[in-house]
Parts: sequence; C-alpha cells; structure tokens
Amino acid sequence: MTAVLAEAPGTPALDAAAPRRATLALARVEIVRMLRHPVTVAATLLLTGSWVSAWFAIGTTRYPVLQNLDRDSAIGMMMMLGGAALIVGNLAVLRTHRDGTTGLSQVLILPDHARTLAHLIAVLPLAVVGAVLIVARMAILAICAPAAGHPNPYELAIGPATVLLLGALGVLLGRLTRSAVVAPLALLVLLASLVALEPLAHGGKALWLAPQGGSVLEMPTPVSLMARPAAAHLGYLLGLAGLLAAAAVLRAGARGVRVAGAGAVALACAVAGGTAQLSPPDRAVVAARTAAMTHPSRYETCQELEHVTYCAFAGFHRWVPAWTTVVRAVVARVPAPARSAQLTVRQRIAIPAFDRGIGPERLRAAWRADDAAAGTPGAIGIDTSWGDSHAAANLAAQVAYRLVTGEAPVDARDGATTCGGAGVLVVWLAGQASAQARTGLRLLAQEARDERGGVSFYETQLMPTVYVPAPELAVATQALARTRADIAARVQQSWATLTAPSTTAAQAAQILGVPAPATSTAC
Amino acid sequence: MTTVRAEGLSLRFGRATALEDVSFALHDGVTGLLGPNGAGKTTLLRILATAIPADAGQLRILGADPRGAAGRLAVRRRLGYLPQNPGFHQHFTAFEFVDYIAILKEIVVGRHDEVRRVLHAVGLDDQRGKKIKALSGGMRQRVGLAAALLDEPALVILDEPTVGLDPEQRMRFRELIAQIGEGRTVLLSTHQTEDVATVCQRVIVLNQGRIRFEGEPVALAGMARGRVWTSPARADGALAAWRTGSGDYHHIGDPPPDARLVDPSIEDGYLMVIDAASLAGRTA
Repeated sequence: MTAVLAEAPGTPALDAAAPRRATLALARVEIVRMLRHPVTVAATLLLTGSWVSAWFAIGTTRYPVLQNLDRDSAIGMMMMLGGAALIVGNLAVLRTHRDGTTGLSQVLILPDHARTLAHLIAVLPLAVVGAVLIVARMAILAICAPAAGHPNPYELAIGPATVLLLGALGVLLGRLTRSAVVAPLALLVLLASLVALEPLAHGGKALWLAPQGGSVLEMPTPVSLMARPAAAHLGYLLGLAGLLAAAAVLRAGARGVRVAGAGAVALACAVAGGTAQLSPPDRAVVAARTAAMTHPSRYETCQELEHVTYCAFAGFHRWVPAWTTVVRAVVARVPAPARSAQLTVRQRIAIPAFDRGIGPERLRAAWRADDAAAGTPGAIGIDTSWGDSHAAANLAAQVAYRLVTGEAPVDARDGATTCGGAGVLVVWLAGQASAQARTGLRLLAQEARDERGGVSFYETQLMPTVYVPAPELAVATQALARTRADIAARVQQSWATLTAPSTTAAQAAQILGVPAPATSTAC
Repeated sequence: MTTVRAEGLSLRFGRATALEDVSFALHDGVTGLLGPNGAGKTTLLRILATAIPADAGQLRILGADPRGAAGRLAVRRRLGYLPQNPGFHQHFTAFEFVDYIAILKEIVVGRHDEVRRVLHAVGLDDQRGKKIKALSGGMRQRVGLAAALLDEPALVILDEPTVGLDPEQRMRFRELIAQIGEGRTVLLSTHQTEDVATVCQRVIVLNQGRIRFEGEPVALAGMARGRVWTSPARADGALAAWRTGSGDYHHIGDPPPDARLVDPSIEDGYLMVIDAASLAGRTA
C-alpha cells in the first residue's frame, strides 16, 4: 500500500445561488428543445392549419361567435399543443434513460428534483405559445371577420392551462416509468375518453371535471347569458397542473415545506375550482336566459337598413350586412307594389336548456306577443348562427313568404303549409337569392324532416315556420334550373296570378314554363 | 498528493463478490487500472465516482467521505467521470451536449467559455457545431472526455475510454490523457497494456475483485522478469505462448534451462500477475 502523503484540499467554496441558476439554465435549454421538437412544430402547424382552413371553409366559421369559439379553440389546443406538451415533456425527462447517459448523469451535481423542476418550467413557454396563438386567432377574427360577441378571457386561458396540465402529466409520467410509450398511450386514452364521455354525459356537469370543460349550449347565445364557470374551471385546471407538478418533484426526491405548501395550494385550487364549476348558474342568469328566449326584444337593439328592420342581440349586429344581402336578393325579384310589406328580421334563441318547461307552442306564442309588444308584428325569425347554407335558405324563404302572402305564417307545429303558386314562389325566391341559399334549399329538401316530403324552413334550428309540399317544391326546383332572368320576368308579369290562393302548382308550372308536377297537393 | 484512499472496500451483488478487501491510494498523475473482464474494474470506478456505495471499507476521496450526501456532493463537485460506453444525446451538437453536462454540474458562471475551453482541450474546436450522431467513435469519446474535464476536476475517472478506437485515435487519446494527468489525478481503466505503458505513472491490477498488483508499470513488467523467453518452436509447459511476427514463439512461464530470455513487457507482467491457472486454461 502506498503511503498517504497528504489529503487533497476539501470542497471549494459553494455558490449558494448555483442550484437555482443551474435549474433555470437547464429550463432554458429544455425550453428551446421542446419548442423546436418536431412534435411541437407539427402540433402547432396542425392547430394553426385547422384554424386557417376553418377560415377558408364556407359556413358558420366565416361568421364566428367569439364566446363559443374561445372554448372550441381550447379543445383544439388541448388536443394538439397539450398533446405535444405531454409527449415532449415526457421525452425530456426520459432523455437520460433513452440515450443511455444515466451512468454519467447520476453523478452530476444538480439534483433530480431540480431537473424535474426545470422540465416543468420548460413546459410554460408551450402554454405561452398556446396563449399567443389563441389571442392572435381571436384578434384576427374580431378584426377581419364579421365575428359576433367577444371571448371570455378565462375561457381563452383554459387552452394554455390544459397545455400546462398535460405537460405536467408528461413530466410526472417520466418520473413514474421509464417507458416512452406510456405518454402517447396516456394521451390516446385521455382523448378517447373525452370523446366517448361527452355524448354519454349529454353535456352534464360531470364533463366539467374533464380538462375541456362542459359542452357549450346548443346554439350561440349572447355573452351575458353564457354563464359558463370558466374562471372556476381555469382554477381547477391550474390546481390539477400544480398537483401533478408537485407529485413529479416529490417523486424526484424533493422534500420540504415549500413542496408541501405548493401541493396544498394546488389541491385547494383544484378542489375549490372543481366545486365551484359544478354549481348551478345564478338564479338571475337563469331568469334572464328564459326571458331572452321568450322576449328577445328586451335584449335586442334594432337598426333599419333598406326599409328592413334588423333586431339583434348584443354583439351580433356585425351580421346585419350579411342578412341584408339575402333579404335584398329576394326583395329585388318582387314587383314594386308587393314590396310595401314592412319587414322585420329578429334574432331568436330556442335552447331546450333554457326552456324550463315552456314548450314550442308556448314559445311561439310568446314570440308573437313579444313581436307585437315591440311594434314589429310578424317579425322574421333568425337564430344566432349564420354563414351556412341552411341559414341563408331559411332567411330567404321566410322573407319570400312575407312578400308572397303579405302576412306572417300561422303558427303550426310543422310550419305553415304553403301550397300552389305561392309555395312555388316562396321556394323559387329563396333559391335564387344566392348560391348559398340554393345549396341550403337543396340540403333542406334532401334532409326531408317532414314525412310528407317537400321542404320545411326554420326560424331557429328547432322551430319550422314554413312548409312547402313536394309538388310545389318540384316546380320551383325546375324553375331554378332555368335561366333566372327568364323566370324572373315571368314572375314579374304574373305576380298576381302566382300569388293568388287559387293558383295550383300545375298552373304555376305552366306560367313559369316548366313541366307540371306529377301529383298535386290538397291544401 | 493523495486524492483517493481506499481501505478494505468490499461489495457484493447478491451472492457474487464484486470487490473484496480492496485497498489502494491514488495520487496526482495517471494511474492505470488493468484487469480482465469481470475483474471488478467498472464496479470499483463506479464506487469512486459515487454512483454506488461500497458495502464495507473506508473511502476518502478528495478529503470527503462519499457515504454521506454532503460528502458525495463534495466529491462530485471536483470529479470528472467518463463511464464505460457513455451514452450521448445524439441530436445534440458537441457543444450542446457538453453545455448540458456543464449545467448539470452547476457551472453557471462563464459556462459557455468553459465549454469552449474543454472542447478546445480535446481538439474539437472545429467539430463543436456538429451533431453527435455525425461524429466518429473517437470524436464522441473526446466529447465525453471534454464533459469529464469541465470545471477543472481534481479527480478524473475514465472507464475504458480507448475501447473501439482505431490505432490513430487511440494514440491521440493517449496524448490527451497524458496532458490531463499533469497536475491532477487520473484513474484510467483499460484492457490495453499499451495504454498503461505509454501514459501511466502507476498501475493497479485487479482480478476477481482483488488487487493483485499496485506499483509502477516498470515494476509490473518486472513481475515477469526471467520468465519470458523466445524459441523457434512452441515449448511445452509455458503458461502462455504465441507466435510472433518474426516467426519465433513468445513464451511466459517457467523457462527451460536453455531458454533465450527476453525483457518482459507490461503485458507479460500483467499476464503473470493475473490468475496463472486460468491463464493456462485459456491459452491451452
């Protein structure tokens, strides 16, 4: 044995701030690697690509309702960026194991819990990217598109919060198991369970315990009636993310008051938020919802454009020019004397969740009474979705009905049946209003919700207001296939005859120069 | 200056004895650790690198006792370690990898300068921007060595760093190790007796978990003095014999009376030191 001559000097003076600074330095490295990881890049491109493609799609996405879109954006963000955060966060934790550097890594100084903390910090910028993307999307839509309403800031924050939550889950899984397969599997299971549970839960309260929160209402509503517990849900998600983060650093060996305190705060947030989000809406909101459904005029403001009055809920007035385009196209084909009818287009909402046992008949009666009280009797109903072909056809047909019959349709469960020349005219006027309206007409006819055939037009998604039987629909469809100018001229010349109650579909076909229908309607 | 002092180190894995009553000291300069596969070299290095504890015995490294957390941390702050078959983060560049290790070593002040310094020291200035997956095996080993040299460690432990390198790479690596050994303690585990001959001031031979020799390389070679000879034909009774490039047979063992004795090499000494019986079995 060699004699010991002297011991080496002891440990050099330590920099007390070194662990913290090393943790932050590691977080910076991981941030860069996570942000430029192919999974993150692909997820970001997919997310933005889906949003951009929605912008170019023809439909309701061209007329977004921002108070609904904020929640939809959060779901997309959770699936894309959240999924990416889960996977890249997990891969970052497992890097040492995957690359076989454990032998060296285990004798390096920075403790495991500090490395885990760095990985958790590194997930934050992914959430920031999500926040930037979602705010940019909302801003672009608000500025460039005829968007209705405004987003809820808490709802906007839910997307980035889900990114944090799933990122923390990825880090925790990396601390629990060394398999890189577990995180993608967990993501698949999570997404599959969300997709499976949503319809099973029928939009019930339990869905608020899932990251994406409860369903939105069946149709867009004014912001003041939404009453989604977004703030509570955000607190719930952040609490869960905090709990997972605390579990991850605990698993990595962290101990002490600060970890316990952070875990306790996170638990408190999760429980408080989770409880609050399951609470029913405020009574005043419930009452306001019902009132807005039965007496929309109290919640709307009106404006007159080209002799037509348009009444819309707060935030929806940016759609009036689009409505006007459809109305104008119908009115333009009507002889001047027939245009004297005072037209009012009024937004309505018909949401079963707000119904409180009212039922369709009483709701219609309430609307008529509300229209009369507001000085707009026989107002044309339009709902809070716009941009798709159905909406264009429904509005055009209702306008056409008013101009052809000179009155509002009688209330009937399946809509007022419109026979003979009047029915033919209603369909033709609606179909020629625009290419979109014509598409909507074709789709409504194909859907054939009415067992008698023909086509029904709706003043909201659930409330048919005008029904045109199959023979009249067939004649109008034939007329729509002909040159518009030719049919328009015949309509102008024979308006009185065509609109007369005694004129049959066959006679209308003869006037318009198209084949007569094979059958006739008994009205 | 003594940097490591081990007294009676033992370690068992289940019923297998990995190390038994191992005692030695390390000083400034390069010490070679020779031994056959399974001799316990890597286990000993892992104990010295504070990766695993010994079951029994006393160990002081750089004045600290690695059995406690504070001692382990103190050792790790002044330790450079290149494990056997070190993994690399293939998608990192050489600079990024060493920088990553520097962070994990809590080097926070002038970190990038330090990374550049060690990459320069191992001759990777021009390769630091290359991804590790694009580097040759020798260059990767140099990246690992650069990581081990971060923060001027007082003790550098290298576990078979020359395995898999071609002769030129091995020669360059030896040059590096020799430079590193100036002013610090380097423990070099190797199968290559040439490594020991060229760069080591001292050598430890480990076999079956026990130290069989500790001393200077010349002394190791001396263990075979008078027991190495050459002859035109293979001689019976030699522990080991092989035909050399000249066509003569090189023998180790008890020479016959008329044997033409030659100066032993370190390899001869090493072969004599390790278990002669098993050596005879292998070379028969």
